[in-house]
Amino acid sequence: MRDSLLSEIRRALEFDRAHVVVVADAETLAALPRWLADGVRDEIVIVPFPLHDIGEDAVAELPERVAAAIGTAEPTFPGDTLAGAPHRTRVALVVPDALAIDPEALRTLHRIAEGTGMRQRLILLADAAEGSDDPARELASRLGEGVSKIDPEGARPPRPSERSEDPVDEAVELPAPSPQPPRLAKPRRRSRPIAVRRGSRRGRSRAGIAWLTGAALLAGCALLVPDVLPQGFLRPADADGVGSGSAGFRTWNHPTRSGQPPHAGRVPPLLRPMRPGAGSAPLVLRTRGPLVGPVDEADLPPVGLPHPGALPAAPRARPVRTEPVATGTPTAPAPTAKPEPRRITVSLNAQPWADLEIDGRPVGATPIATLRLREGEHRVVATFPDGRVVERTIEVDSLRSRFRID
Amino acid sequence: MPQRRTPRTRATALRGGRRALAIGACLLGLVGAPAAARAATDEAPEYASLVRSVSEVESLIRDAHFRTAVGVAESTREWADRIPSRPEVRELRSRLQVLLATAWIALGQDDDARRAMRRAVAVWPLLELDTDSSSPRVVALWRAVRSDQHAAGGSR
Repeated sequence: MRDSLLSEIRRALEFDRAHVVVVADAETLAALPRWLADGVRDEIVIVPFPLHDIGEDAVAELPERVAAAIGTAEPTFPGDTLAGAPHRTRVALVVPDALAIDPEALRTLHRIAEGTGMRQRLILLADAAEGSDDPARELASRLGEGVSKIDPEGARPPRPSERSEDPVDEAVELPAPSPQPPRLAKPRRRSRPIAVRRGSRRGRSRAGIAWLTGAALLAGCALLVPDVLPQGFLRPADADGVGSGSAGFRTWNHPTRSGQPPHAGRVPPLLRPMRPGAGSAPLVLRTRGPLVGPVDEADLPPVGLPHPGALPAAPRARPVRTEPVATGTPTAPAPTAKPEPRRITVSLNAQPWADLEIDGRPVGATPIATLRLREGEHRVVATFPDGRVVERTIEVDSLRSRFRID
Repeated sequence: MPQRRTPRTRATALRGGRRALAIGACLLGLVGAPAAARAATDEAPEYASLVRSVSEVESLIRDAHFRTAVGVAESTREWADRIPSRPEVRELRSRLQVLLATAWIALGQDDDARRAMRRAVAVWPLLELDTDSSSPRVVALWRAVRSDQHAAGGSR
């Protein structure tokens, strides 16, 4: 099971920046960091989901756990994208011991994976030693209809290099209903994409070096051109009185046929662009990776594994960038302003329904899922149709954003 | 000369007719029962799955997991539409659509909510919402959709 789990995690990583959610027993989860020590671990986020937690309710909570672990403020797993993290829209749910899970929970997991617009894969691994001769068929029968593909590669016996002590591992792969099929064949680059991050020290130093090199080359060319190129190569004055160079620049520093510089008496610029404004074109650095735009450090996937016992995973706070800006005049240090608490989208419901007031402000009748509240405590007053009034204090943060008032 | 039926012969004929009817019913039962049973067993798992899915969506909405509820309800709808249409199935499908509309209302997607409610009323025109136990936002949408449909029916 260990080797098939690791190979499935590697395959999931080919699923282009996938986040891997491993649903496994405590023993497997505890062993995962050790198994992943061979270089894979730096590239993935494991969201552990202990097997004993698996049940209808727990599976329904899975999207929240995933979103929390990969650091999004608004867990919208079943949406088009994970809010605020458009480059992280692919999640692979790897279930190493699928036959040990309650079939109903398995079906719920499948429905969640299938019913969402997110690009994700549900990879179920089943062990023949669990009491079934044909684990793939067993899994398919447990899931009922909807198993769209038995992955032949996953169902093959492991290669000798991958062979484990377990007899046969098999996988059922359920492709997500994404409009574009995932490009599984594309090999994943092992290195991180080169991205010049606006504002980062590394990015600035790279851009500075590039500018300096460019400027030095231009200056060198400008100094060398008159001496190196043969006389008359750069044609002197045309009809408009200026010559044109092969390098796309016009030059004024060569004598005309009359022997007089065209702009005698003025100090001509050394080089001038052919078209006005062309010289001010921005330097374009092309990267091989996807264009991710300005990336904050907090947006990058965390390196390493959370401790399996540390569930639910704490959200990673987005640090406020406080790099000093070099200016000519020394300035007094700015007073450290208290960071404003994040706003979180809160969902509220009541049974059967209730009119809600939050912090003294009426917000309407339940159900509500579009309320944006600051992180922290809020006072909720619910007035039920039978006249009952319930007061409750809720603590809102990135992990607690759904509340049921009864 | 036509033979006149005495009351005695009339009673005998009546009895004979009843007997024939009973025999016919028995034969029909013998032939039809296995087919009906087969149909029931074929549909039972699907119906049971539908019941489970609807209750799952209900519990997701109760716990304010609206987006997950939409995901589950949409995927359920896809296969539930293929179940042979019986009154109880239609009622459940309509219930599923009401739940979907509820989730969309919560999420502020009014157009999606209206579409779902229209489907609910189309699948089960007898749909009635308990105005005491349903959210006024859902009831208002249901009334609006119903009045739209009545207006559309009247204009035809």
